Amino acid sequence: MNSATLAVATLLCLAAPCAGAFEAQESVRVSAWSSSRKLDDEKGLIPVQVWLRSSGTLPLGNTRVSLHGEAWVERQLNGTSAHSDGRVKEAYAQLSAGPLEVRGGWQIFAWGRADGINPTDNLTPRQLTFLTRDTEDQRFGLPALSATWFSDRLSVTLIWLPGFESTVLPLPAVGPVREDVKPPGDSRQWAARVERVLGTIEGSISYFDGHDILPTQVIFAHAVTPRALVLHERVRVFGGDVAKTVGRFGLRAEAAYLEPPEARRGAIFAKRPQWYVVAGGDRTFGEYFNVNLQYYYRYVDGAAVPPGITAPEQSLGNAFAVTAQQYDRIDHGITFKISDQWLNETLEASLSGLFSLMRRGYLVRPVIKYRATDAWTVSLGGEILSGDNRSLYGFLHDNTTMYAELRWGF
Amino acid sequence: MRRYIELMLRFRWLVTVMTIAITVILASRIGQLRVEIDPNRFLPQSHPYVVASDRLEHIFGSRYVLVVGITALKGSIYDPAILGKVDRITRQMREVPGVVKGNILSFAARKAKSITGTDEGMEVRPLMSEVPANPAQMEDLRRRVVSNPAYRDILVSGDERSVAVLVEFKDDPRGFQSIMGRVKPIIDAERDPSVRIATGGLPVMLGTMEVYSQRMAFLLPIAMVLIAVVLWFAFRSVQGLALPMLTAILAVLWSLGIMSLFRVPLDVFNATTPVLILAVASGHAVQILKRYYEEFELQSAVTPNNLREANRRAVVESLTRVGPVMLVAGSVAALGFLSLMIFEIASVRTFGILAACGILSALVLELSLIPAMRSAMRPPRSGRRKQGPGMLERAMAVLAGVVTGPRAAWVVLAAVAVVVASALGATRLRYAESLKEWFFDSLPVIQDDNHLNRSFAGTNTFYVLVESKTPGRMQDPDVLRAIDAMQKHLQKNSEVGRSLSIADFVRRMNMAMHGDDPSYDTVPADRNLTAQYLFLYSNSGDPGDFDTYVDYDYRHASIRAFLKEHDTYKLQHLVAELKTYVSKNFPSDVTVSFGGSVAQGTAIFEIVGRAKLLNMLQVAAVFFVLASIVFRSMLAGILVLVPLAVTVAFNFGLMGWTGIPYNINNSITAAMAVGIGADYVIYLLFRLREEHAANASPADAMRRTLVTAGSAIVFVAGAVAAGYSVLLLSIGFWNHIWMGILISTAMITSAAAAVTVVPVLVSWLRPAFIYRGTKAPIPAASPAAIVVALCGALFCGDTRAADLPTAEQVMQQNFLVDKVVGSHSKVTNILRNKDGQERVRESTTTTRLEDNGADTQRIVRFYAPADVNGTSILLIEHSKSDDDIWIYLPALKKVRRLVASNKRDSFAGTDFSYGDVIGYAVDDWRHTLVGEDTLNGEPCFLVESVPTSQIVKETSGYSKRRNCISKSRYTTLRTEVWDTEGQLLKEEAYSNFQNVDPAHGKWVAMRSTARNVQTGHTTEVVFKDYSIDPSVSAALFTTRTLEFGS
Repeated sequence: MNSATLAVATLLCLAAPCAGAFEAQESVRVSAWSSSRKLDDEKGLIPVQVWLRSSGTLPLGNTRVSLHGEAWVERQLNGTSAHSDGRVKEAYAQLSAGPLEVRGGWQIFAWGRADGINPTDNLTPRQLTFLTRDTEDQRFGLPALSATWFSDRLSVTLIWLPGFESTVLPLPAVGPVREDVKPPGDSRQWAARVERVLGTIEGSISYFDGHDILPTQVIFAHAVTPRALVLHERVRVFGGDVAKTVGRFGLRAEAAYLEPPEARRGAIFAKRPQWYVVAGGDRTFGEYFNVNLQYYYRYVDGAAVPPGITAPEQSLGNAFAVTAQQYDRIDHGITFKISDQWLNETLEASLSGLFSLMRRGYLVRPVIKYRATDAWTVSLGGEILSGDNRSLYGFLHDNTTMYAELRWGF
Repeated sequence: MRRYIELMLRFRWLVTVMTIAITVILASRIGQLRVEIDPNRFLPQSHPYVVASDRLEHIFGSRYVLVVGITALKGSIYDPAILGKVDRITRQMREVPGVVKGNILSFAARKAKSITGTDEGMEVRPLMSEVPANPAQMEDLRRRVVSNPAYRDILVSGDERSVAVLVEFKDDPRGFQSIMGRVKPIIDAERDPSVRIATGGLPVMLGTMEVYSQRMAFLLPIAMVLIAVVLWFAFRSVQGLALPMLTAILAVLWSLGIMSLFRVPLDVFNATTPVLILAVASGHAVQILKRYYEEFELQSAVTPNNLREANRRAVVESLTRVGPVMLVAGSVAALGFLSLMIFEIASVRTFGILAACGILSALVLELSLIPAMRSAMRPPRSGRRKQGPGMLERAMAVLAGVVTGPRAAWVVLAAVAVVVASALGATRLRYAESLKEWFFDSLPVIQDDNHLNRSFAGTNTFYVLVESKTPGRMQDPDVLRAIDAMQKHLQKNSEVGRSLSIADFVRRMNMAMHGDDPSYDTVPADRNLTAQYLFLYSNSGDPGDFDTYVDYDYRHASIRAFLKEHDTYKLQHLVAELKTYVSKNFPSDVTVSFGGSVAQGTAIFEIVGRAKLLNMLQVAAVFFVLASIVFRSMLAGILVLVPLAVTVAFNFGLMGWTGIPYNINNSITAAMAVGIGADYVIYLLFRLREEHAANASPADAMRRTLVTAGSAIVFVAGAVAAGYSVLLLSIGFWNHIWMGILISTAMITSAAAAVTVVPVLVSWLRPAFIYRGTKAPIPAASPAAIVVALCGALFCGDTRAADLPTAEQVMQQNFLVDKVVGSHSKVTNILRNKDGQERVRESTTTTRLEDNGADTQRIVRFYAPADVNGTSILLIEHSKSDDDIWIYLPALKKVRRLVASNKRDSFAGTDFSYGDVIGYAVDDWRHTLVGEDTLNGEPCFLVESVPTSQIVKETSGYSKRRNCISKSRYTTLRTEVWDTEGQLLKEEAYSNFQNVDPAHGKWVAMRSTARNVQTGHTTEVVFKDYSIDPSVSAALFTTRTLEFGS
């Protein structure tokens, strides 16, 4: 909380002297949630959040310096109890000189042209337990230094990530004692991406060598104490994506190969290499009615849970594999989003989701938003998770929640 | 469609190579096309007559009976030389492949026995085991023949001058021509001056029909030449002749290849179908070609120095506009033909599939190979464009005046008169289904057949099948007597020459056993006696002697009647009368049915009579539904049916008045005519709608429609009629000639009705699918208005007209006046719905004009309201293709490529469309300076602009724009736009003009409003801090700047 508040205060201070050159967007969000996203059986949560996003550019001759910051603070009420939270999502400075752009600070890297699920999006984490209407708001940045060189049609980006923080996963309160094993401080991460834009077809190829933002729970087989280690395996991810519009259709595809070279052998669960491919597209009918449909396919190379372990270990291993989405060697399914707008773009409804054809697990997100005025928006929505217990969404079934939100933007 | 055609042109060599490859593959399959010559394909298989015929064939043998008649030119047949011929023919026939050996009937056949009573009982011996060598033996033969009346008029004529050999054949996949080919040498060998040898029966007729059907081998090329002649007269260019012919020929090859590929057999009855495909394919090609030349005229006027580019654009434009219509018209025709698949007759089904394949092939070719080739060919000679309208176009223009003028009623009256006259003619319709009637009477086969029918009982067979479930029932006296009585009843009919059944033989046996006493020429009343006779017969006869009359366990019996004529109409009455007779005279446990070649003809006739009506209704319903869907109007469906109804009426009337019989072949002509004729109205209505959308005057729209699409319809009808008229050359074969007459006249009738009756009805009914949103016809000018107009003309008419810029010049200036090299501005969009609810969007916009001077790059960055703050859009326009659009959404943290919006879509949620913001290419619209006005004290030109093509209309979403253009600045002061349905859509107003670039005379309205009059929604756009920036960098318009803007 303190660091977050400090970050916000810093941003505000930064923004104040150059207000003329800065744009700021603030919002206050009051919402009511039927349950938490932490698998902790908490019901009736009322978070009150204040968001701030500020950015601006200061021209310095032929060079431009841009600053950007984004943070939120939250006070969450739950019956008689309450707690506070906050986070700096991004806070960085960018130097643009000719074709070169260098950016330093806390940054979010959102890679991948597919919609909703991005196999190449492995650099920066999300707080999946955070109660917010827009899942993209769950992202938060990591300290990083990035440099991008632009030509007419190509851009090349190099990223160095000195720090690490993993995605915040909802983990059941019951189960073995967990011990978070932080990656060693000297293990740096880096990534590179070559991107082609402005042609009839655009796309990128990328590489990431760093720690898996999705934590892996392991228990070493035949361990004396049943202590689960929450590991952040070193991974190498080779990825690529492509997008093209064909008439009224927008087509996108994305693929990545993830390789954990140092996965702990001997554990009851060890992350395996995997292929992850998403392909599909969208089309807008009329002015607003948009239909987006994608197919995903994930192939895990080998069994993540080794044979020859005891039955309880097997069960635990399976549970860990489900969390890491490596229980099935092959998982495939569809993602969809249908959205439309009415009443002078004030009423918007969407239904999005993911359906695993392998395990019949699914996630469905209905949302209705009404912009009463340009400043006030009311939203009703939900997140319904269900399916086979061996699917991630069946496992997260208890996180099914409904919400109502009132947002004031200024 | 446009993109598709451009794709075809871009890859034209690939398209050509692929078409050649497909053609080679499909053409190579034609050799494997199975051609079935089975007359069953012509038969309705579920008809009781056909079922009975099949059962008769199954129980008693083949139905294809060849009659060989030998007539002594001098003396009687009881001559060793003549009977020697009978003997040799009989013996040689046994060796012919396909002959049912046991069923040959002649004096020399083993089956033909004489039955004689002796003291010991009954003597049954072959009628003629060897040719009598002396007069005594000859007299003995004659006596035995006479004493066995069963053979009278069947094997020997009443005057004893003709003798017959009856040979039955099995089905032969090689056809009847093959059968006759094997029989002919045997018969020809016996011909000499002493005799006349004639052949008759179904195999002869079917074999002859095969021969005449093969005439298509030379009729088809003649048809192609005739169609080519029509095309030459229509276009007077090699291209105009060659490409439609290429389409037509390839369509024929493709359709035959597809038939082979899907193992759909062909039959001889479909020999004329390629002519239909040829005609229809060239018909569609003519429509496209006609439009191509129209477009080429327009395009070559735009780029007179680059005719190749004009040619390319003409190809694209013509197909963009006519292609969809052709798809609709062709699909409707193809579906109409495909609907014949429910027809019960296999041959008709084949016809439907073949015709549909041909039409669809033509569509594919016209949308792939032909544009590819046309774009690669040299453009038409420019001199051609200078030619004035042809005679036909002038006639069509006159016709347009008639159909939209006061004399239109006469057109309808004439059509009604034709229909009434046709209806009267239809009452004289002669129903007949006789193969014999398909040939000229002068043909040797018909002469032979007539001769045989005069000499013998008849060459046409009619069978009565008597059945019981009880074995031995056919030996029972009640059944035998009923059969015998029925034969007598039958023979009272003048059509029936003779009949033969087991009862004849039982009677003969009974009489023989009673010393040839004529009083015993009856069926015995005692069943046991009959059984004993048959037992006695079997002692000396052969076991198979009665196989043609009864089956082995006496549950089935046949009566074989020989008819002199093949008149289905008379047979229908005969069968109806026989059914009544049977119900009264046969035991109730015995069923009686009818079959044989004559009955099958009747079955065809009955099916045709019944199913044809259903088929016509079905095809009409298909057209009605499809046309109603396509035009979204049931009235359109009715209009499509009007010429078809006139055509069908005329078709029937013509048959009635001329005596052309109504048979299956001729009945199909109506379906064919309907299938082709539906295209005409569809082309016409589409063009009329297009013209109307582009021209407010109904009379002008009609004139242009008739001069363009109407002329093409007449050419198409001329081509089809010419193609089919070659069948008139098929001398000797009425079937071809009737088809030639009926199809040709049907095409002409259909086209005439389409260009006369339909336009009149459209003018009268003013259907909404064409005239939607138009004003009522402009009433005649009042005297006061005429005075005002005259005064205006007198005082400022000519001189002012000379000073005025043209509408195109005004719009060109208008298009350029606000095109600035680069700009920065702040924009406030205020959106209000009809209830006054308001949303305000504020953005900064930076623009840069691309080097082509037409396309603009722009970055729009929204900063209010809060929920869209930071959202940025990069829009790179491409006037020749879809725009590129990217959006940066702060929440997503990434740039996302968006699907290019249609120009008609709302720009950023405002009431201005993308097209309104970007501007409209002057060449895409036809502009008319309709007057001058003053708006807020500022004089302006009133310019009406209509899209030059359907595609521009669809892309822009507007059927018309009316702009008030400032005379001093050429800026738009006010715009009214009409939607594609012709309804007023929006009113836009522009004000607060700022001279943003005095050096180049650039003006921009700082305030614009748009009101959607249909929804009540309004948008107000206000520019602030507008500045010109000639140095705005192209590098700014990349996705990298979306996040932080410029």
